[in-house]
Amino acid sequence: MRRVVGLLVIACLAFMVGGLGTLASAADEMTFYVIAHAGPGDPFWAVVQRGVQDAGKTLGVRAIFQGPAGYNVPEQVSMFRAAMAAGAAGIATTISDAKAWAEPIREARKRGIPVVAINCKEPVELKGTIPYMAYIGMDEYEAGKMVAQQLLPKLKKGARVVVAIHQAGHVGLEARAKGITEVITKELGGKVEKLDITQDATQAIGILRSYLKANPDTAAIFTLGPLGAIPTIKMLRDDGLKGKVLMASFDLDPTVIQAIKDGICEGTVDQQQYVQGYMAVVELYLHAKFKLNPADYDTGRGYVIAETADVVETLVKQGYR
Amino acid sequence: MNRYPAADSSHAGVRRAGSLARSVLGHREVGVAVALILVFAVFFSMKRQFLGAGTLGDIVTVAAELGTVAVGVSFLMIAGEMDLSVGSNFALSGMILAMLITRAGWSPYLAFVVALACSACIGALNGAVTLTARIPSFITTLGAMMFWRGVGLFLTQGWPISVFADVPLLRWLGGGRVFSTLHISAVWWLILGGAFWMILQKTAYGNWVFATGGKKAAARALGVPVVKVKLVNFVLAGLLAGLAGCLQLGRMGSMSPVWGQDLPLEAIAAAVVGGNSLNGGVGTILGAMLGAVTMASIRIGLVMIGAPAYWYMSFVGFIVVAAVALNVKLGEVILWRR
Repeated sequence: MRRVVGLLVIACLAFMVGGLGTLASAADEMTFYVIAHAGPGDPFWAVVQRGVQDAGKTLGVRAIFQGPAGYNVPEQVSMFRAAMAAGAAGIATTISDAKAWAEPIREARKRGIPVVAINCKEPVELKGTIPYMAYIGMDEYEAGKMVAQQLLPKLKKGARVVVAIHQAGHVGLEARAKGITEVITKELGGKVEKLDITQDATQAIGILRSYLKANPDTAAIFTLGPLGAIPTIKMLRDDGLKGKVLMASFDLDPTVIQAIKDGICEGTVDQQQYVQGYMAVVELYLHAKFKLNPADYDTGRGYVIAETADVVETLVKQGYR
Repeated sequence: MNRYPAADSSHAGVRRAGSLARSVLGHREVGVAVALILVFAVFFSMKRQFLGAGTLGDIVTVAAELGTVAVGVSFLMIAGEMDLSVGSNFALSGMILAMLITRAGWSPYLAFVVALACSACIGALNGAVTLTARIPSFITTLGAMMFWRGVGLFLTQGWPISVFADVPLLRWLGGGRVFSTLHISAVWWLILGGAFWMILQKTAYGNWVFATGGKKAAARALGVPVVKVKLVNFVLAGLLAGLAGCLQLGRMGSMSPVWGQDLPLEAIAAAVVGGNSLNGGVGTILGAMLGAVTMASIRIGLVMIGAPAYWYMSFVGFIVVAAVALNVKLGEVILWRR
């Protein structure tokens, strides 16, 4: 028994040290960090990570994607500071909290480390307070308004609408929710309720199902990303609510695309997150190599519907969209 | 004439060395100290900047918030109880402070006192429910963890609260720096840790805490007010969790209702790595503080060498088991040699 335990411990150590060894061998290359507020456990961020890694391979530099397991800004800031201490040639980060990011980014810039923002940025009223060099991503609030407008023609005046949020407190998701809420209340005089469905699929289904039971007049559900969309689609499918409760979402993943083709989901916003990871590394590399200044890059606010779903489906399966 | 003077003196030397080794190995902090040295050696060998002043400042600053919670949790664990609601308490206290300053326009100092008072009340409520209803603190505080997290989300409607104005109190709590990247929150943590170490090791109350977590019947027979000691420690655990939330608000300028979700398990891990027993009656404050530094070092070291973020969990898991196993082994060796 002791031998087995001993062997297991040695195997664990060998795995860890071996893994670290491969990292150490490449330690002196030009290194770029992309630090997000969540990690590749979320299908969305797995695509960003792929963009980062592909850019690193293409350019022949070390490009590292990092992010805490769950939405955690203090941990993200610690990662950013560690990247600074490690002598990064450039860092891209999501502006997940306007106040928390002002100081670390200012310090990085003071130390001569170029910083670009990706995916989400500070609210409009605070524009210019954080000295990142460029923003690569989409405007969350405007995208929220856009997806709501897409559904307007199919909703009646005063309709009841649910915004299912899977990461309450996340600035970007809250901004999307705000955009949706504004359009539905202003244009339709509708009743919008924000529902915290958590990141647990089973819980999410339970929460949504009981909400619909209590409010059978619900006309539409907006989900704010695949983690919210996947359980919602399952519930609509299982409960035979196709066509009775409309649904729209954000971001692409195979389940959402299939639901669009099946007519369960009306459409989804595509912010092309692969480009966010890829272009962040490219812009930082160009700055480090040729002092070319990073520029804002709108990764687009595409809206995928049944007619365009086939085109993007293959790319989603390949992990590029 | 003594025929074997040299042999005698060498025996005495061996005995002295043996007793020195026993006294060093007898400390429960040995396991975590070895783990910390190993972690530092591995990261330093891979990235020379790991031992730079800036990195060390970052490590201690990150450790300060976790460590403040870990000190309170250790104090409670030694008394034989547990608090899983420290993460929700942490977030709520930071949010109360931020909301009272920004939305209610209160004096920051008064708001700070109110935030801490709320945290202490949450701790007191945990203690009162556990001790009067006689249910395990694991269950009480599991419920409290969910309840107060929900309250926080309701109060802010999910949005983080930021304090954009320059508030001197927040600079004093955690925003200001004392050296390089070392934030002032680390200084408060070290002072606090020293004070709690003194209470535990040098006062009659410290003895009561150990006795309460050890053999409860014996402690009662000796006149230790077991219930009072537990209640006070629940309050202290809540208070320190709230203080940590305020320190983080000071450092970050923001607090979200969803932050600090991993904090209870991380604080317990820091305490256990530092030689505190889950069964109570045994433990050290210094060990818990070193445990927090170890965890912060792993977090920052892994990013510096470019390892995927998820390795943090694996490393912490490995260190928890290894340090505790080392502590148990050392304990056996010392008992055997005696």
